[in-house]
Amino acid sequence: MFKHLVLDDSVAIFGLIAFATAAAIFFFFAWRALHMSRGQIDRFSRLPFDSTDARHDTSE
Amino acid sequence: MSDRKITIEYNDRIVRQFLLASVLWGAVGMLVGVLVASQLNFWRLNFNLPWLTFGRLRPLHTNAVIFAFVGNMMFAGIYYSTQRLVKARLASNFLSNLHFWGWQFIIVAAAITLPLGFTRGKEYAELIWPINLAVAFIWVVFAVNFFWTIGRRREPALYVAIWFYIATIITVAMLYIVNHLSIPTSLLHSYPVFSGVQDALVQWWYGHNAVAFFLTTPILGIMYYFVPKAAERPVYSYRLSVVHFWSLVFVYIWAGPHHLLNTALPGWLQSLGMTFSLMLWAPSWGGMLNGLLTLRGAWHKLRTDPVLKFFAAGVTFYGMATFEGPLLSIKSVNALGHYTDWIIGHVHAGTLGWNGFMAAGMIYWLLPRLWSKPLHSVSLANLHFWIGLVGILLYISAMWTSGITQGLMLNATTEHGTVLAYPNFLDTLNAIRPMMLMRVIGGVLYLTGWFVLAYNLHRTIRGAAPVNGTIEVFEEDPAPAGETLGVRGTLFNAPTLFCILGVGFATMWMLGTDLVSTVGLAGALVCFVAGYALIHSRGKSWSAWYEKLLLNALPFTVLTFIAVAAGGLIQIIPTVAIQRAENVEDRLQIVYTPLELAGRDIYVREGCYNCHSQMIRTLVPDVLRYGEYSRLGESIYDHPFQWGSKRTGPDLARVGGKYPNIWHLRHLENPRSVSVGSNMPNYPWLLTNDTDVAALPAKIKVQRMLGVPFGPLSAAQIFDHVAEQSKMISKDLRASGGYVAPEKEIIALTAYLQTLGRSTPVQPRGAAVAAMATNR
Repeated sequence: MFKHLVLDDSVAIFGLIAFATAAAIFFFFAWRALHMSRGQIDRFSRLPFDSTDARHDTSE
Repeated sequence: MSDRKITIEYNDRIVRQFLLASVLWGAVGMLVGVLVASQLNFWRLNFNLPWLTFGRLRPLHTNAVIFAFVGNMMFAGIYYSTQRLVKARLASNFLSNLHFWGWQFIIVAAAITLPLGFTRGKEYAELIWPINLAVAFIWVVFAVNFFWTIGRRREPALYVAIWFYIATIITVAMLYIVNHLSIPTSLLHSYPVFSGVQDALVQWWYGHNAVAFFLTTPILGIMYYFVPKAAERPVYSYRLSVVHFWSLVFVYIWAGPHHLLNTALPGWLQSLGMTFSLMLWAPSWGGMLNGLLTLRGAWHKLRTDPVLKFFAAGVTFYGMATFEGPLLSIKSVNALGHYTDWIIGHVHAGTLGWNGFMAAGMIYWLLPRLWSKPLHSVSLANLHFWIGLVGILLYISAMWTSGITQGLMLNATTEHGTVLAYPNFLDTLNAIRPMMLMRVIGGVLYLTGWFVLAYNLHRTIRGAAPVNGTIEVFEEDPAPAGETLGVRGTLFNAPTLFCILGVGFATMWMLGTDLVSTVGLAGALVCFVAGYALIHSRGKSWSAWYEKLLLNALPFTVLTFIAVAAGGLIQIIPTVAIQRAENVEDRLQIVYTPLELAGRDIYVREGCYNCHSQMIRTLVPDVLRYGEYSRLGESIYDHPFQWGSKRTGPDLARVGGKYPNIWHLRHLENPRSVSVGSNMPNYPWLLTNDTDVAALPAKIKVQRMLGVPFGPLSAAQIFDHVAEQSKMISKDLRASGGYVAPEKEIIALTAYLQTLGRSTPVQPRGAAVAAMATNR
């Protein structure tokens, strides 16, 4: 096991694959964030200022 | 739904306690920092005392500022903001108090044991094993208190700051446990289970991510709460904070190998570390911009409000440090900067600028709210800011200049690159002395600013009544149904399964051979294609799952853990294979004799690794200066590894046999007698203390358990071996005019130093490849 890593010089490709994976994760969450609704964005960003009991918040 | 309102009082007492502790330990940690920095210019400040040497105090400084100063500040900020974000009081007063007092006990234990020389010899992980258990226990207490509070929340949505706190808690637990795995040899000593390159990788996977998940993510969470509060406007972009969080926690974990560039660490790991470190620039700056732009429309307040000054400067230093870090992670830049003061400058831009200033801003903001009395003096707070800022700028500019000077001098060659331009290491030390002194001045200024804060705090709270925040809520109702995810929802859903399967298949391809590797490649491709197709056809159900995830703390935590664990597993597990005699290049470490092992433990105890490395890099100037580059196999049995991270003194990887025994005696007794201008402390107690030979049987037993091929020596054989070798060295010293009894520690340490660089030649890798090809 792990012979590729110990003996092959082609392991350089794993860095590229790791980069591609990380890029995919980044773009996925960027896409998610861009598609959040305005209402949701406003609600979340105002949480530090919100002093009402959310369970009884009927404004939404 | 009930219509009756009740008032919940937040537990701000614990916040006050942690805040005060943070101020106290910050002063202590910075004072020790100023002392150790001064020692580098004035060796006499070691006072010829074992418990005040640089090698023993530097770990005290790092542990104090990271765990005592930032730790206490972080807990204060987390407990204050979490209660308000989830609209619930901390779940347990008992756990809160246990957390606080337990943490202070750990700090005091560290402050006693480290100067006494009780150490594991690994950076930011020096504390001995009983204290490690205490840390793990208190961290669990913290985690339970935190998650229990989250579980009782009245606000279903988890604000992004909470995400950062969750990532901090679980990742620090993972890192701490793995890097502190040790086998005790006594109540006060242990050997880590890892050795050589694997220990190096685990150490810097931990070390860098201690920076990431102890010094960065909790402070980012604090930034996301306190900066909007102080600026009285919401965070600039919540969308950006989402991207910031997920990309940061996934990418950060992989960056550890950038501490081991150009060393014996396998090339693919170095490339991974470098690549991910460069990628890390993006999410880090995303966070920085989010924090700074939150101040949009409030920039005019910076003129008069010290809190916003500290926050703005703190976030700016975060941006600076997170640009410098990726820059230093480029192999060719690292070739210049590694082992020099440039790294120290980078670290302190982050700690003084980001951690220190965010702490100050948070403290100044909290003080009037926790004691219901205005800050005693806004002018003093502003003065603190300016003194601190000048101190930071002096510090880091001194270290940049010093580091680059030292790097250039050490790497400089002449005669068409065949001869070192500065063959004497001390020439580089002398060149950077003025910069090291400037660093001390910068540190003193920063510490002065901190004393100003402490005075301001004292005057503010003197005579003031502490006050706890409150919130009016409706009487407890049952939790709304239908929102929870559960185990099925967390793990057995399309997005998670595709990710796990995809990574699993990719790992099989990467690490397996033949059929396993082929299956892995095929599986990874299938996952990629199928996942892409499914996103298009079932995108809405995936979206709905993600929305639920944001409201469910436990599933969120589990998936964050998977995200942070992936990098460590993929980087660390393969080193198990490398850590074998048949996989090393062409040299294999010779096992230490019992006396040499005792000497090695003295080397670790005295903290010699804080100034001396044992890793000749694969760089021409290193090889010209110190000899053949260090092979992986030459440290394979070192528990803990001694590759080092700083060269205040020269590398010692091949110092064995370079000087006679008498040279080492004189050097350790008084370094300036053989190296004029050295800033190394004197070690006179090594000539009077006896080597702890009685501890050797237990130590060797543990080493054998860990796979070091010591022979099956009985205690009597060990003692005989020690006596024989130490008499030999003592006799040799006597012949050269040095009179030291054989049982003294300096004999053991000399024995160890004289073995460095000794190895057995083994069949080189190329021949091994040919042999394996023939056998297939």
